[in-house]
Amino acid sequence: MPKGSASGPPAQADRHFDLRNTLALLLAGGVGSRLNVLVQRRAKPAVPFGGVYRIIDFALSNIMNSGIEKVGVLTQYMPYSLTKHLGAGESWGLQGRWREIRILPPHTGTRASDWYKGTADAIFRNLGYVRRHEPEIVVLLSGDHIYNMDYAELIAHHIHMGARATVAVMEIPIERASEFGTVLTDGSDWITGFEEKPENPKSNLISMGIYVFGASALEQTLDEVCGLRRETDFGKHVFPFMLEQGGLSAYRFNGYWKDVGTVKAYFDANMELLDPDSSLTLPEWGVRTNLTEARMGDRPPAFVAQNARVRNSTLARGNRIHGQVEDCVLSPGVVVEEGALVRSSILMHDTHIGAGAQVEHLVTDKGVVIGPEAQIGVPDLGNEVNRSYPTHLDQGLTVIGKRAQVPGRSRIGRNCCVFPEANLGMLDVQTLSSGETIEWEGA
Amino acid sequence: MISPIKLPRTVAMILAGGRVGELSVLTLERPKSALPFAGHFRIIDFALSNCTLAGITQVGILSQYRPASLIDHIGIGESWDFIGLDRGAKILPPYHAAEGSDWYRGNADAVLQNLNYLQDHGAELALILSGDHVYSMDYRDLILHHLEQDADLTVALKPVTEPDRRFGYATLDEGGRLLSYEEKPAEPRSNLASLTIYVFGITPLTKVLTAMKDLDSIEFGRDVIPEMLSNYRVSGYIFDEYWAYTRTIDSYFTAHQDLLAGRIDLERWTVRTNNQDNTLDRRTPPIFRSWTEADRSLISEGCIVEGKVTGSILGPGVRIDRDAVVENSILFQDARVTSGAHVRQSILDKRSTVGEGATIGVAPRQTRLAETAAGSTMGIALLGKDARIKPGAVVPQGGAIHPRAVVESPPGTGKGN
Repeated sequence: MPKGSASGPPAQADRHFDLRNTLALLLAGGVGSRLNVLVQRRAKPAVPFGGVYRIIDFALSNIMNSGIEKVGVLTQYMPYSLTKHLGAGESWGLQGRWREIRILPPHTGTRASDWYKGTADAIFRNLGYVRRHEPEIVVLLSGDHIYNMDYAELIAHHIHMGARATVAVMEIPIERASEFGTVLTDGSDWITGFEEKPENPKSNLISMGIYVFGASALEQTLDEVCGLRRETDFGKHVFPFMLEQGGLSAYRFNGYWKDVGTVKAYFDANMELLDPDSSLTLPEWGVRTNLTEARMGDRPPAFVAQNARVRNSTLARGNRIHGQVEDCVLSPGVVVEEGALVRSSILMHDTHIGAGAQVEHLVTDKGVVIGPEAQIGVPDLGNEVNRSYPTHLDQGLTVIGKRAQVPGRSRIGRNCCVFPEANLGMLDVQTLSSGETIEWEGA
Repeated sequence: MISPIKLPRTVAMILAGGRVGELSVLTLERPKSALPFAGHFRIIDFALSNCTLAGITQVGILSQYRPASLIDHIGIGESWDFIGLDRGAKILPPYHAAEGSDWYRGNADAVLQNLNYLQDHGAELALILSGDHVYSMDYRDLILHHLEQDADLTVALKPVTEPDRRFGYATLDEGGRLLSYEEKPAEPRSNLASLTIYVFGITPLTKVLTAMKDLDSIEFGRDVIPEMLSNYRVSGYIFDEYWAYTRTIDSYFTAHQDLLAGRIDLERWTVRTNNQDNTLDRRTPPIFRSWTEADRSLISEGCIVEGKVTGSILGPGVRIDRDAVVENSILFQDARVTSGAHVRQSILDKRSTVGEGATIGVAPRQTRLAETAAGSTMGIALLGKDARIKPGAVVPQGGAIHPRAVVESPPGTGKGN
């Protein structure tokens, strides 16, 4: 409870607060369209990461490790993968008499019947869910980021400051600040201004999209901003409105945090898992996932065959490696046949690399089949950026969608894109020059 | 005409029993059925997963020797689909009864003392299994055979090429009826070895066991089968696929070599395990560094492989440091082999550590060892749970180190700490 409140608790309670009175709301509706074919069939938070995880596991595990016991997950775009992944919440200790995880899809009501129009609108439309839990504190999170944060410290900061709302911020090099919403502060962590993707940033503190509200402050503010003014967004509307009244604090975070919103950023963050000097240290983070999915928990340990060679890579259950794997992150069930060479790639669940295939700078979604002797990412097919998605695929990575099939001996260049389910054999495609896209109108 | 398989209500009893001396330091603190196998599994997973596959939904697990690891492992049985209506997996320990209490006196006595478990769950057939076998059998075939033969007891038999004196052997008539049975004969009269997998009709089982209740001990092979041969219909079911038991260090080790050679197909067999046991569900994917050399090996979650690994099975969280060598060995979870150490033809139990430059199973066998891996003619060296081998120390071939024991560095190496 904020210090300034008239009915504040005795001073003793300042040093202790009960996280069971905290409700977390996780915004997991993001499309994340720059992840291209990886988000054609699922929302960005459901995109697999690090072999066995999904991006949302990081926020969920932070919730668990922070001691928060109630979570609402707001979905909107392609929620099936997410729904399945969350299950009953038992993977994150969120199943129990008082512990819970609930999926909150857009819904019709007496007044509103529409898709969520923005982050604040989504929360506003679920204020009923918030009220039912009578929380003191509401934490608003996004399921889009790779990071490890103790929300208990964030909440402690919020309470200590006596703030109405707190925004988690971090310092980044000022050259990159224009890609984000930046935050201006005074000398004592009070926020004095916001700039959304400023051309000439005045601050190198960026908002991480992680907010803490006193429950009543949240309700009052959203009633005013979303209810009366019909505005929809935290960054654009809610915080500028709150600034006028003050009481907005900033919580400085200085650990690892990445928005893996582009194929390149996604690829790089996965590769950081392999770097012993990276601060992306999963064993210490305590990240959990749902192992019942894709039968992950039912598969045997990874098998490395005679004459196989695995270097600087992570494997997963059910892998069978007969060929060479270097600088790769493999998901469960990936098979690399004899004589195949896979380098600098991310292969998701049950990707099959045929004998003698040569693969590099490739990201495959689940169930992709690469035939024998195929070549992917070969440099002599040019280096053009993708013509259909020049801003998504311009760094040399080729992405192949879920269950697409690449026949033996075919050749695929860089910055290529293959849609989910596409069957290159049926299309009679033998060669795909760099920058080309194969579309597929599937089910 | 094709009809759906509808089997009589079958309840399985798994003999998960005791410690066997032949497994030496590995079963000092766990029953043999709880021994890790193939990295992140335990041996009992084979019998449990076979039950799941066959749609057997009620399982009693008979255990009296240090069952803690087994209790953790079975949990509430959800890993094998044993939760829900008419489903369950229960550990059945010996208990006090009105007429006195007793430890199980033989494997058949364990079933006798739990006849009420079978009855309470409405068993028409009792499927008796062992918890230390490595195999994939569709028990429905066995049960259908039992029904076709209109048998009171069906014994699963495997043709073997080199008769092992630990087994019982049976002869069959042309119709598949058991003619004779001998337990552990010096000279077997047939090559059909009993797998200690039985199907009983509940009525004959109850009758026969109850009649034997005053014996000092009751064993299925020694007492029950010979008794039933004369007065009941006993049939034999031939099972001629892969089957291994892990009752000795050598057989346990050999089964792992079979695994690496592809004779055990964990995926096709759909072997399931409890991912909550031993924090398996919170392990990160195994990582290989750019200088790692690994081949012909099984690598579990949470392993960090920096050295050289060949022909080996690494359990969850095993760490092989740079410049360490591990050959033809089995490492249980969280074992650690540090830089410059060499491990060959060895089994390292949970959290055992091998210090810098130490060697395990490399130096020739010594005859004056205080304790050797009992019965291991293969000279396999063993480190018990939490054993600590200090830098430069030597555990020779066939050596066995007790749980939590410390083997000091040799004098004068300067690495005594």
